[in-house]
Amino acid sequence: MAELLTDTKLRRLKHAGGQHASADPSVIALLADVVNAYPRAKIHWLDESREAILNDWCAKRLLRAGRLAAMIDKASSVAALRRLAQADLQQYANDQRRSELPTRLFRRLDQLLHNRPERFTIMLASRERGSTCWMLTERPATAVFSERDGELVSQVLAVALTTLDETPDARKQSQFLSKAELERYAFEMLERSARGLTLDQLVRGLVLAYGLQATFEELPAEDELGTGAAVAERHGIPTLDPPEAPIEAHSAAAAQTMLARLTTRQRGVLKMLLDGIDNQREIASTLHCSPATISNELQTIRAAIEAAAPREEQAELLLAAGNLLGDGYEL
Amino acid sequence: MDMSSDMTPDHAKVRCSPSGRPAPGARWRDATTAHYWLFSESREEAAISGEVWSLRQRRPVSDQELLLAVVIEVSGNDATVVPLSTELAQATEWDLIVPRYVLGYETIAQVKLTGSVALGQLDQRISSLPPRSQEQLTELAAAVASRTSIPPEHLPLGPWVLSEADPRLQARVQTAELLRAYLCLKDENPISEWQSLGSILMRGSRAVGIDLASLMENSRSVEQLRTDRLDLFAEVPARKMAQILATLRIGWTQRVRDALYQVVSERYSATGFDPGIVLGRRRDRRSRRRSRSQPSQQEREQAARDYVKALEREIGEL
Repeated sequence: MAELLTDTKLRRLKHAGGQHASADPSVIALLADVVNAYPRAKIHWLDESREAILNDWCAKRLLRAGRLAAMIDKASSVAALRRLAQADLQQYANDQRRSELPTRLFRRLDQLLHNRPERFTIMLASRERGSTCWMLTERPATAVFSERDGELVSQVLAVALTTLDETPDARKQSQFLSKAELERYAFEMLERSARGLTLDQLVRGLVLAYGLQATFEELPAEDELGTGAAVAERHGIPTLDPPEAPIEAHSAAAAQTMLARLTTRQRGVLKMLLDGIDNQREIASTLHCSPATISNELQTIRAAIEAAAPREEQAELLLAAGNLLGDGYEL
Repeated sequence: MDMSSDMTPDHAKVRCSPSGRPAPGARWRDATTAHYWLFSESREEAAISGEVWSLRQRRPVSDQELLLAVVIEVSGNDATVVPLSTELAQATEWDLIVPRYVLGYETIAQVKLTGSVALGQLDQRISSLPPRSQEQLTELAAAVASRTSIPPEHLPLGPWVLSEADPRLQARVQTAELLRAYLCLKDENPISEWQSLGSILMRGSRAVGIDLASLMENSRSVEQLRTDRLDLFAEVPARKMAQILATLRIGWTQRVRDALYQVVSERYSATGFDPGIVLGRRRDRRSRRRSRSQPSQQEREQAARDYVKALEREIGEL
């Protein structure tokens, strides 16, 4: 049985960082309780067992996208965290119901473009249906639309579509846009941009702008994408946002020098702080010394940091030190 | 159907390496938290510019949702903050994309919703922006404070809003209402960029992929037009403006009308031109004489009314 999550513990977990807290058994127990107690009628289209729902919810939304860490940061109490988790579970379920929409929209748009030659015509033919570029019959385009997702989203949202609400009893959402609204979408995208768009772009625009991503699909590993940033972006992998803060060479060198000035125990204290452990008694117990000794060691660590870098660069210095300590810098 | 409450989802088990190190993406936050813990006792300030804090509402509410925000200035007992949102789909060209490693999850800094809070509302320090992001946020916040209608270029921002109908504008207005529980907004109109004609023209230009400069005979006027400093009455005949709006597919809405009226009335200088030509009147019609002295408020407003009326006529004739 996991320890109960209390307001005090939540605050401590938050201080250690939402990422650390995401794997805490008491947090996981709360999530399990949320899934267990959630009314079946509100998520009736999910066939899986509650356990499978919990696993899938955690995998797709809570952990991969860091939503659990965000919820922990935003919750002022356990009750608030529970409420945020319930809302997120409902959103997860709604997303699941819409998971087939991109495929359906692709088919519907393809059919629409082919069936209305008086309005839409092919600008650039392709063997792939998705790569076929379309333009307006009455206003031929001379250029194709940008490949940038941001520009695509801007255009789609400028059309301001009226979307259909889910039918409460439906197991899958199959429409999203009425026939007339889908046609207006295709027409206005081509008319407003005055450029040609591929079927893939028309579908992708809707998927991005209205959050219809098929989150269950595993993304290719980043290292399998080679150097093609554009390819990575098309797969939904952000290429401009590094997973970790970049460390300047001078910070790495300064961290090396600073760590060399510290004793093994002082480096041990610093490593524990960087791992989110800031209870002096806990640090003292782990390092087999008294809390007073830890206080003294902290004074030395502070002095070493201040000597190694100006205040505005000290966080980066600690990041570099954390990397060195984590990579096996000898304690 | 029930499951044991200590069941750990598969993916939760792999969040930490065997050594207990946090997963990539959290270490910047750990470093800044460790730094704060080490030095917080020695510092005088409650919060420092660039720090991310959670904030309580202005009135005590139990079990409330906290607001995450970046502190950009502390003065006396108040702090100026930029709210952070995890709703990335709502990002516009006025929202700075904060690197994921800052908090361990993606957020946007909603600069248009900048506001002030009492220091007593600060709940917990969460992380800090790296220097580069802090510079970017400062630059964007300065642009908002100076009421610039177009954000600085080369910043990591959300997709542009190209039409008044874009649902993100309404979402920003609604968010502003919700944020009033936490802060006093600096700008009462969270979509003030839509009061600027230059901004509306620039958005139209981006939407159709036609450079605004290519539509103007005098390319030097473009910068003034973009920034609402051009004397339209003197420089852009109503017919020409009607053509520009049509080319950029900008509809004649109340907001466009108001923005245009505002520019003409503010920039009208009444120097050396024939209003008959500007307004598209026939030469034999009586034209008002122009004075070279500074026009009165009444003259400015009359000029704006005439220009708008002429423009409406031209739009109807196109």
